[in-house]
Amino acid sequence: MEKQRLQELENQCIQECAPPCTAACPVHVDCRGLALFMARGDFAAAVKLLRKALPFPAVIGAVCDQPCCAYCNRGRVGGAIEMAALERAAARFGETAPPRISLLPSRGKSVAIVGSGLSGLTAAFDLRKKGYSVTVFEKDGRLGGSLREHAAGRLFPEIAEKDFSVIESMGIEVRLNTAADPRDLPGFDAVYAAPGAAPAHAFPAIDPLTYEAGTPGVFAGGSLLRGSGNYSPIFSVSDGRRAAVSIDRFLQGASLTASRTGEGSLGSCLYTKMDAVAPVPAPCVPAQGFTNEAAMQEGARCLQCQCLECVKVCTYLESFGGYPKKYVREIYNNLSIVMGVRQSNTLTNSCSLCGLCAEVCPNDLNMADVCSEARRTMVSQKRMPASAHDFALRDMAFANSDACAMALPAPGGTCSRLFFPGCQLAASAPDHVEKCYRLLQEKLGSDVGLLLRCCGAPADWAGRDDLLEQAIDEFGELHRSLGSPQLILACPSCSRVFKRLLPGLDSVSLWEILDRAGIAAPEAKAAGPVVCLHDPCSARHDDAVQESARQIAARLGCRLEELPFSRRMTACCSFGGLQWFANNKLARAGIGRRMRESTRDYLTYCSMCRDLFAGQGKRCLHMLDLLFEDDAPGRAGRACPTWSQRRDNRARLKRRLCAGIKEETMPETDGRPELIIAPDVQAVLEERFILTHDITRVIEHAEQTGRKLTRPGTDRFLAHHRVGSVTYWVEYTGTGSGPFTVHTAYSHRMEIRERADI
Amino acid sequence: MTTGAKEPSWLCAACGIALERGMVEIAYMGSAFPVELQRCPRCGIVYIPEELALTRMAEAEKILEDK
Amino acid sequence: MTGQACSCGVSEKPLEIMRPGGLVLTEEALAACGLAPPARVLDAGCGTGAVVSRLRELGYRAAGVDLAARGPHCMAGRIEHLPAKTSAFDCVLCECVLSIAADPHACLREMHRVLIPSGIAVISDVYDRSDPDALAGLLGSCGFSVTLWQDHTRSLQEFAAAALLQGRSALPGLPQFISPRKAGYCLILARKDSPHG
Repeated sequence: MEKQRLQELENQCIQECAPPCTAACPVHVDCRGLALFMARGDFAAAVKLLRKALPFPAVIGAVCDQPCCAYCNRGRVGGAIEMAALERAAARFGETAPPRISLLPSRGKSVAIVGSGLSGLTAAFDLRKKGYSVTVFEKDGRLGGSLREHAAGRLFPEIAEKDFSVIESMGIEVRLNTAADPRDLPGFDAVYAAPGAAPAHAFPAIDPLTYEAGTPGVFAGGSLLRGSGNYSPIFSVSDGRRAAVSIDRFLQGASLTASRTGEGSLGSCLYTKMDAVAPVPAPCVPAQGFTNEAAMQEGARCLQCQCLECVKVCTYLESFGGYPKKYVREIYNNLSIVMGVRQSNTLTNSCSLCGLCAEVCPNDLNMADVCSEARRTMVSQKRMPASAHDFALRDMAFANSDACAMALPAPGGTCSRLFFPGCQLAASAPDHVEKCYRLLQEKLGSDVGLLLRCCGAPADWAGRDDLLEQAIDEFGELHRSLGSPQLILACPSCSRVFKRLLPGLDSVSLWEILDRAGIAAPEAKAAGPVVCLHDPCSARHDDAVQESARQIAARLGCRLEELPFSRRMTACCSFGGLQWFANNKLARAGIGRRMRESTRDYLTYCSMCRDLFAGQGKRCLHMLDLLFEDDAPGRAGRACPTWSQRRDNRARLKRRLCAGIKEETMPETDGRPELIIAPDVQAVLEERFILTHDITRVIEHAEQTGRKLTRPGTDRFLAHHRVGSVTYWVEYTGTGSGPFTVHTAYSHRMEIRERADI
Repeated sequence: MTTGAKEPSWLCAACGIALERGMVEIAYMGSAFPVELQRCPRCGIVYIPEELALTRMAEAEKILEDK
Repeated sequence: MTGQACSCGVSEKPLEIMRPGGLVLTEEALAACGLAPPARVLDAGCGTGAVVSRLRELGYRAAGVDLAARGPHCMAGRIEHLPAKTSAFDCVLCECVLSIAADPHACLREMHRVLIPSGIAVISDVYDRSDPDALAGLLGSCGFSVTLWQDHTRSLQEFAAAALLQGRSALPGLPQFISPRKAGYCLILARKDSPHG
């Protein structure tokens, strides 16, 4: 991933953008953070937070003109947050002792400030903190300038005295009753003129970005810029602060204009969903300010605006404790480490690649793209742990092996349409594949062929472009040899893979075909069950398929209810992206969440979704159950076939089709020994992703070589054998050619390099 | 190390002798290192108990996978 | 037994060197310093003295210091007060010690003292991967210039994996300020700055 692409992706996530209040505030007070501390009654933390943005929090609390209010999201549901009153309460209840302001070491340069309004005093405060000697010239007998008159009645003298006392405590020299001409102050390295709105010193041109006022080293701002009718305390503070930045840069010989885009009042790009926010009316602020209880209540009224739209709907994004901006950076860092060690493999491999995040994101950021690309990079760097996807890739290899893959008509023949049920339908309901094939022939003519294979989706999800390309090439060759027929696809994941990699391929969904063919329910099924339709996530953007599925279900007698998340907003069953294998615990949490969306039985048109729901105890039907089963409701409780059974189902389907249709004798079954496996042991094997096939290989190896352990006084043996990148251990009873009773089996990926020492 | 019901320990079926602790090389994700495990002192066949494979070994794999 | 150490350096007698990288890392470090026998090397925090014995076999004039020192050429003492003369060593090793020392500053100042001008300190230790420059900063503040910084976190992971398989905890003695997820391991070579340099 390129650095530039990382930045683009990061910028798509707006979670870290300032909320509208903070963005609108010209000095960017963290209003949201302040409200949170106030709601908790942590006034000390609140005032500490305020001091990061405001030199005089109590004064601003008393007089602020609150540009934040106009943008506060709470404004639409009860009234904007009374931010100034919160600030004032924070200063009053949170700050018992005068603040200690730390100063940088002296820089040996001096600055004159003309005028002691909020603008001048803010500049004085900031520049003194940066280590400059500062002298303030005030023509009147006290500090405050135009603030005093504009805030009459609101600004209690003791508040101003207390807040402004830091000026002298910081060692800023104040010369009261001293008028000064900003352009005639020899002995100072720079001057800031903030004399108020009075036109006594007319500056011909003040640069709105840098506050330069014509003469080098002379800067000007404050009410001067706005005129007498437009006094704004908070913009005065902002002018003083921005002018201080310019003066500091000027005195250090740095650019006055570089990277200043974040200053002043800005728009916010933070999105906050407001649909379900209940109105809470704004309180009246008493003249003497909030009591601490009232301040806490007002803090609690803040919506704590944030986006997190994707995190709210995705168990994966939620479970890592952050949000996409953080994740994107973490994943990028993970990939770009040359030396040292990665930490985010799990983050990259746990995404189901379902794309729901992009649907809810105001900027369409899709974590599936990020994780998919990152997996490919990990694979190319040879750093993808086999444990993540190995099992699924072996399953895919088996589906495309001679044991399962087949085409009808046989090589040499052609057809005009080709039914491609996908590897998991054949694994889950092989008889439905056969029935569906016959139904299509019945409806569309005998010129319909059948191709049993895997499309390559697991390789796509695992980031294995090599295996994906191989699967697609093999498919393409077969497809051409069959006369390039139109493809009829039952599985939405196959459809996605083919559309992306073979864009010119003529394909149509089985569900659209059945819809068009006008499949109707036999009368016995007319009063079908009430079900919720679960759209598979790979059909998210296939509106036509979603619609056809609903039409067929209705015609087959189902009364449909929509789930909260359906169609474009559908949620993944947790098989997507191989999440089921890479992070099984997370996947179980995710499917659990989906299952709880309704207590109704589910109906779907992806056999993997169907089986995973069933495996977790959620009654679920496949669309073909409605079509081919007499007792469809009973079928919803059918168990999820084990991984071993799925393999057997595929292999048996091929054997049956070969025997029945081609009248060709299938090779006999492999003659492997019989295994006796109790149901509880079988459940353990399933959880551990151990196939009976692998168990057979371990036992055969042990019986052939004699390499096994024995427990004296029992008839049990323990043997291990490495199959691919996994070492399997089997504890069993029986010898020779069996049968064998399996007591337990387990596996690990570390390789044991055994050797005889003697 | 396990307490409770004491099962007789595993023997190497081929050599007919008891297992002993000895150094075995373990390899994973490009790393290889020696570890002391139960194994047959004659033919070298190793014993990894179920509990070890499912807990500490799985944890060790995770550590080495974060490569 | 071959007596050879594997890539992670845990020797075939695993109790001798209980730290990531083991002897292999120490020997790599000395080679990277360009220090050949009979250079004078002090192992500060030598434990059982395994490194000292090995280095003496290789021809180095090696000695060790440890609170619980035993074995030939190992002295009992604290690293904060090394029982050695000023400018007595070409090289001081300090492996897996600083991170658990009560006063790492004091240790480094003592190592600085006993090194000859431009002598080399070899530090290998755990570090916080979220703050990878901390150790180098510490060295800089004690009069050293870092000439080499290498990540050896893989060794730490192998060490942890081996420990787990043998029923020990994965990262014994990991300082509290480093979370296990952030724990890394590094090798640093640092040259003693000359007072006028």
